[in-house]
Amino acid sequence: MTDNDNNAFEYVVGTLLSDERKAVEQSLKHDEALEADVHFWEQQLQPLHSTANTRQPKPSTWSAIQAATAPRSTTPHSTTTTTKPRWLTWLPWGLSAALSFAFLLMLNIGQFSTADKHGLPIDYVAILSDDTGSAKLTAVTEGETQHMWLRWQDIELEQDQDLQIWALSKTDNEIRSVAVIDDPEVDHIQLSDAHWRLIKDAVSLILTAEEEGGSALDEPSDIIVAQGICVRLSQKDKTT
Amino acid sequence: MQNDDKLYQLIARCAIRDQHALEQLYQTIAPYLNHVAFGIVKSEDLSNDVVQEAFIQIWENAASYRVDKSKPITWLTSIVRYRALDRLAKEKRYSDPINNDSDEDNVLDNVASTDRPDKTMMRSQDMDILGKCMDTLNERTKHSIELAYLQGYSRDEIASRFNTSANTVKSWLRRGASRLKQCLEHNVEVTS
Repeated sequence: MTDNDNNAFEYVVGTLLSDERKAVEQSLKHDEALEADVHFWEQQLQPLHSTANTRQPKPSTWSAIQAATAPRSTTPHSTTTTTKPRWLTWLPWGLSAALSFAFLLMLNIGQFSTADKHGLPIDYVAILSDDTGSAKLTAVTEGETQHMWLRWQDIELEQDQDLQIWALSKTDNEIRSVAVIDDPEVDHIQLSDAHWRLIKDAVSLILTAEEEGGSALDEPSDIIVAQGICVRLSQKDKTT
Repeated sequence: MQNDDKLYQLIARCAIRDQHALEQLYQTIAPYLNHVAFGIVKSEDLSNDVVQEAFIQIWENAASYRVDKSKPITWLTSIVRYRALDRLAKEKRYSDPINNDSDEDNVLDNVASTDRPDKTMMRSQDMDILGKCMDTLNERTKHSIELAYLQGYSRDEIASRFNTSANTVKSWLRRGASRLKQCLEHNVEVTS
């Protein structure tokens, strides 16, 4: 075992001394091999815990969490120098309204479970991250309306560039365009039936920077802004 | 208890700031996470503090969660464990766990066992492999790893328990890790 292996094991197990622990945490910011070792041990040792063993938290614990995560006019993120798009301030409310509508619709047709009654009836989600692991786009799709909701984070583009979302097919391994985004503030797109099928068949989504109007070659450029696997959340298969 | 897909769905919804998802996630997993935290900090108040801090971190970091790097339950458990270890170090409150045999026995009795009907979300195959590999270690090393991982024992505390030095414990842990890794990698290859 290398020093990295040993440090990763003791970091996960929790036996490193304070200084050693800090040094590992510092290294984890840039050492991908160490990060992989830590993930390995986290994953492998996880079965030592039995999830059947529980201890009910105090009621006050949830109240404190709720208070700390409630929407505020200023969030901790607002201290960054990045200017957030206007729509981010109203997106949660817009989503709430849209989802309330969807909830009522689903209730009417009897397809919405009680457990999810306040939630988002999403079918597929992809969190697209850049090569440093920083999330750049969260894409959520909802099959009933074939909407794809988009939440962007700090993407910088040249003036003569557009963004383009691509789907990598799990059926034939081909990459196909889902949408060209020419408005960096767009919060959702309406998918056609064909594009909805692409999402349903996608193993991952890719976000690239392209010339204005999208890729002329109908294939992604080398400028990959972010990518992430596409996960189906709904168990029921909706027909299109 | 819910499966990985359900947990992932809830984490993803937290990423888009769905507070109802956070509440569902809390209701689903907080009792388990509180048990994990309590095993390390051994205090009702502290374990609740740890769970509170952890859920705020989960909320803040949900968008950066990568399912390809870590299973949801592993990600959630790791956040709680690291917060608990931080809290333990900060409080310097070990509450003499070495003499607290009844608590320790309870925790170790609750280690996921391979011969018990599984009513959890953990995959039995993962448990089988880890259990088999842990059994290749000598009792001392195996017990040291469990005391550290499940109860937050330091090297010094393990050394005191086994009447040896911290450096010896460090050697046990590192030799144990090496053997465990070989066994785990071999078994993953065999089963894949």
